[in-house]
Amino acid sequence: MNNKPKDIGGPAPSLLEAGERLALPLFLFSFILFFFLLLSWVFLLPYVSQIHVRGNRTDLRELQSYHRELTGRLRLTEEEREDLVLPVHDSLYKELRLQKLSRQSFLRFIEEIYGIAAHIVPTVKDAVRVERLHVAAEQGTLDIRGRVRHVGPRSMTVLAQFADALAESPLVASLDHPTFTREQNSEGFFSPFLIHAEMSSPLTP
Amino acid sequence: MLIGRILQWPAFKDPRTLWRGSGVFLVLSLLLLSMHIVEVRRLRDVGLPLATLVPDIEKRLRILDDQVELARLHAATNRGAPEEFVHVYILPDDIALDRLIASFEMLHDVLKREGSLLSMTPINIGEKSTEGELSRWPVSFTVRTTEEGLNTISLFLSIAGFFTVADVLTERDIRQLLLYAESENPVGIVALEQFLSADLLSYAGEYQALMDMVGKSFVSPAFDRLFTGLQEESLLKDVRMLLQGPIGERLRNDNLWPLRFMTVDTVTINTREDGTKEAAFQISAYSRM
Repeated sequence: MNNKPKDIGGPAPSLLEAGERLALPLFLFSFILFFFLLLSWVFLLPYVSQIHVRGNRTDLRELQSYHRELTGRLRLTEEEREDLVLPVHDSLYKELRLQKLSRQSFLRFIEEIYGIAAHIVPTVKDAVRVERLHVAAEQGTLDIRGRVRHVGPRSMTVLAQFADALAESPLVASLDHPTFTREQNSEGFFSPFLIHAEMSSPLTP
Repeated sequence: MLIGRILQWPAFKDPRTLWRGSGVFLVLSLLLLSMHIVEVRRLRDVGLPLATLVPDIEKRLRILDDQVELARLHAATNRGAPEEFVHVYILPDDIALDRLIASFEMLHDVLKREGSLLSMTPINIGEKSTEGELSRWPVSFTVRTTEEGLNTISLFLSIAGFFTVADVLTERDIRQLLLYAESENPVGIVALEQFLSADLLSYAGEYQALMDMVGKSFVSPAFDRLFTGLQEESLLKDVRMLLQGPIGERLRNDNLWPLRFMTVDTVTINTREDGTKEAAFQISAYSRM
């Protein structure tokens, strides 16, 4: 019995010959693949990618354009509603009103400062005495002149606590820290101070 | 048959041409495939979310259109009065010195009677300056008061020139009120409009009635929290503090409402040894050119 495989015709083809034989099938395959992908791009995908909105089919670009149009109309209608609801439309008045609303109420500021001063040293009511307040509302700045007293040699520390408490207040945008000094008179130690601060705007979130 | 004839072309007999053609078609196929992937992703990431958003926007737009229509009808019957007050009293065409001084005289009288004003210097009115279409008149005076007196003068100056409830609220406050109204009861915009257009003296005098009127149109706890919060956290609280007392009464009786538009430019407060305050005010009173 002969176990050798039947000779099916000559030696194995070379790479070149294999390449020549593969050329046409590969070409046909790539052409058909391209053709079907092109058909899909032109016909199938636009159909499949249509979106149902309120019973109508629309493509993505139209939907995006419609969405932009709707949001534009929405914004205009909201503005018209706000406009109608506000009773005064005088432009000069509106401008002045906004300017005034954007300024921090100096009364609130004064209450805040006196409140902080009164509670810095809970056991000594007038440890921080605010002697002079100068509010420049248009510039949004404030100068506080006073002295820390009746707390013995801790007057500078108490002054630092007062400055920190002011800086943490939501009504204060920024603050220049005072010069720390301790002096003495017949009543004991005291620390005079001058603090310059900028007020935050009530319209800033 | 046709395919057979095409395959007989000389180009199809040259393997190199066929390989080049295959390469071109494969590259083009890859390109088309990646375009498919991009498009499907856009559909998933953009198209589907928009498809759910658009009906909501359409619904909201319908509600807004109805609200605007209602607001237009209401405004057609009520427009005009607030504008006239602004033109005649708040931003008049000239300095209108009589009303300006009368309002300070009234303030002086009330505080003196209460014992919170100890002294007041003469009121100085300087030369006007021009800012666009506005004239700005500098006014200065110094007072010696108790702390309560200083608070009252400060409140008086802080609301001087504001006329209606809407004028003392920020755009954000008003927008929030409208959004809540829209979601809870769109028709209630009429009640909201009435509330916002109420002048501040009426607001202070008829506070509970106004609150009840709005409360009938909007009953949700969320709206109630927002609405009540506004009364306590905005300038409306200052308005009630000032105008529900003797100042409000005098403004009504002496026909001095609404007040001239005034802003505080600077204030210097010295605390005296006896605890009283000496406050020097520099303010600006406005009129039209």
